[in-house]
Amino acid sequence: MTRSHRPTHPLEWYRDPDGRGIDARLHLLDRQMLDVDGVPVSTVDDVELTGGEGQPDPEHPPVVASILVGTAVLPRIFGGHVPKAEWNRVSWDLVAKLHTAIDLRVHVDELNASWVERWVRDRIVARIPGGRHDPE
Amino acid sequence: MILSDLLGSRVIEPDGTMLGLVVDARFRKGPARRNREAQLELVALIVSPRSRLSFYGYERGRVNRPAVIDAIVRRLHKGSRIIPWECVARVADGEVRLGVKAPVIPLDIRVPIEEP
Repeated sequence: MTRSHRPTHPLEWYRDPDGRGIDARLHLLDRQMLDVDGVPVSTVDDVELTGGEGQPDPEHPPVVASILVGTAVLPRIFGGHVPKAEWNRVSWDLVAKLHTAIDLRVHVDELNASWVERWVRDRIVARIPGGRHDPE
Repeated sequence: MILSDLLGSRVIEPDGTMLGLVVDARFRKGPARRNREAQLELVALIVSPRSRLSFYGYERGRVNRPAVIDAIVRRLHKGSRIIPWECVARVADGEVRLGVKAPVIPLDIRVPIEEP
């Protein structure tokens, strides 16, 4: 962190004096994700953290491991849990920049998280007359 | 662990006092990385004794207009505080158990941190 020019309470650090803090609900959840070409991918439905459950490891505090999209949104609305195997993950390492949107470093078609959209596009929309080109 | 498991959890001090519900989690950006966003490390939980909602940053004291909404949200989130992650001893079954008595860090930056 950048040090203050005047004496401050050491616990002020937790109140994010230098703007490097990211509050999950305020800055992360429901943000739009854009692929490397600026194509909208999805929104952030939930976030997976490393560790954290049970007794936290003081040496390794939880970090954001991946962004969850798709079915992960259901527990936020209805409660309960979706099995881990059903989560569609976008690894945090694929994130290029977090700002008012989340820029990814990959193309949308390379993501497993977008398989439902690709399936609907290729199997359903493409078979509708006029479904293979832009509207004129 | 997913974030939803933490949000809405009850925060309980070592002596059994309930401090409130987790309304948000504060992360902090780690060192910058080439072409990639920095790692986000969990540093604290934001706990409210009255509300289970977060409201666009009003309760953090950095936004104060329009004044009517500011007043309502400040009232709803009165007593909201930041609990450092270091104080957490156990997370399970919708409960966050603290291992030590947490320092009182008001969420609203306009409220000074007072010594016990």
